[in-house]
Amino acid sequence: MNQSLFDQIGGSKAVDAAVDVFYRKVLSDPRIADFFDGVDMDVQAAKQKSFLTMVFGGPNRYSGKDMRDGHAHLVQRGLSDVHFDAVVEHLGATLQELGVQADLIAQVAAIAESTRSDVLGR
Amino acid sequence: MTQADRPTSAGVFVRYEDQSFECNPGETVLDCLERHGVPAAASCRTGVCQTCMLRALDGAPPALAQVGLKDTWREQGLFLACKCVPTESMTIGHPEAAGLSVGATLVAKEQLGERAIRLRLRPEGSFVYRAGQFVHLVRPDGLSRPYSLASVPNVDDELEVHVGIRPNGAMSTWVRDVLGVGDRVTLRGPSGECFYATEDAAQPLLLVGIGVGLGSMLALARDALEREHRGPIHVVHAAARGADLDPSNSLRSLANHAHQITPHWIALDAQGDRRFTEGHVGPYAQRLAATLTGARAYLCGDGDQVHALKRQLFLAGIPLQAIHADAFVGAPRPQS
Repeated sequence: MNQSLFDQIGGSKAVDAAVDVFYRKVLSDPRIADFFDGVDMDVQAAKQKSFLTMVFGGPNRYSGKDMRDGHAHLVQRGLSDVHFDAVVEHLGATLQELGVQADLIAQVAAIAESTRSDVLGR
Repeated sequence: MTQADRPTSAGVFVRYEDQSFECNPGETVLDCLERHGVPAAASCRTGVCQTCMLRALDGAPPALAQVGLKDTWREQGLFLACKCVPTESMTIGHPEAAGLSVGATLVAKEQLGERAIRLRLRPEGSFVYRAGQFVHLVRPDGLSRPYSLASVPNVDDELEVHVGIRPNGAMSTWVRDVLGVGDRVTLRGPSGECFYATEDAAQPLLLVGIGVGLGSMLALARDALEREHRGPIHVVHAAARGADLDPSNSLRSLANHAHQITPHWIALDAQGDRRFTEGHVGPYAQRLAATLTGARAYLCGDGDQVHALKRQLFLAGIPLQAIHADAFVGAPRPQS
């Protein structure tokens, strides 16, 4: 199969299906819910869609610097590995719920993992 | 389509904040603004993150520039600058830009319950709005505040606005004590995403009006009936005290006339009135939402409560794209 990861997962339709599921998990997790407080939900959902598009291997133009700048204020509030791990956990659970195959989930997790140092400002 | 196949768009201008910028053929609005050194927020540049969202103030933007946006947002002309290639000139503004101003004369003023006043206004020019939206009332000295439009276009001749009286409210006390029938005010707008937009006439609708937000929800409900909506329409009025619930019995009369409408009244303090439920609107609305499969929700009223309710209804299972919330942020407190 020569389809890209993004196509195999289901492209932008998969992102649309995933965003509400993923966002609900994040809001319901006391470890990380606070980081999403006070941000307009529609604005937040749009950012989630960008994030999901990127980790599903989809088109995006985010650089390491964008990830760093975008999360700097959260790092100042204490964003750390524990929170990053929680998000990746919810990402995996979301894809499982949507019936995505385990090997594709592993690829998505790897992409997410590759952003850890930038997100946490290391 | 290659560059060569696109229709020539020579002479296409983007008008923004009193300036006109010529677009190159095939160029996006974002590219055009940046090329002219206009500060324009942007991030993913692939039509997903919505950072570059702007509003078309005259005419509809190209459909491609609206992909992914909620239906009521598309109808208000919101679009993504990074995806918008104009084929004809357009006037644009910020998403929160309240739109154009029009003068209006006050034709009626009456008390609505203990803490609100009903105003009927006749605009001097055309004022196009959707039932459920709100408008900024602007005093002659420029002070402005948002209020729900309780009227329904094409049904009601005049605009109707409900003003909640706040003890130290600059606008509301002026409305109560100074504004008289025959006086002129300015209206700016309309704004808001709470209006009938479903393509599924059988969809259950959950309308929650908090405090004076009820006015918008009643207008929306009446509009839905006008448009022959067939599904159940639940209208919830929530307030702090029983005395503030449904002050002019509008919800009760509407429900009496239309069997599709189920009314709900809930107050933190029902003040002994057995007609009302006592409690917090959040859990109540969540339980109600759980019984309405595939529902669309509309929320209108005080900012903090609307934000909290939006979150609660989302967690209760309503898709985010099916929740429309217009949150009124309270006026800044006076320095004292």
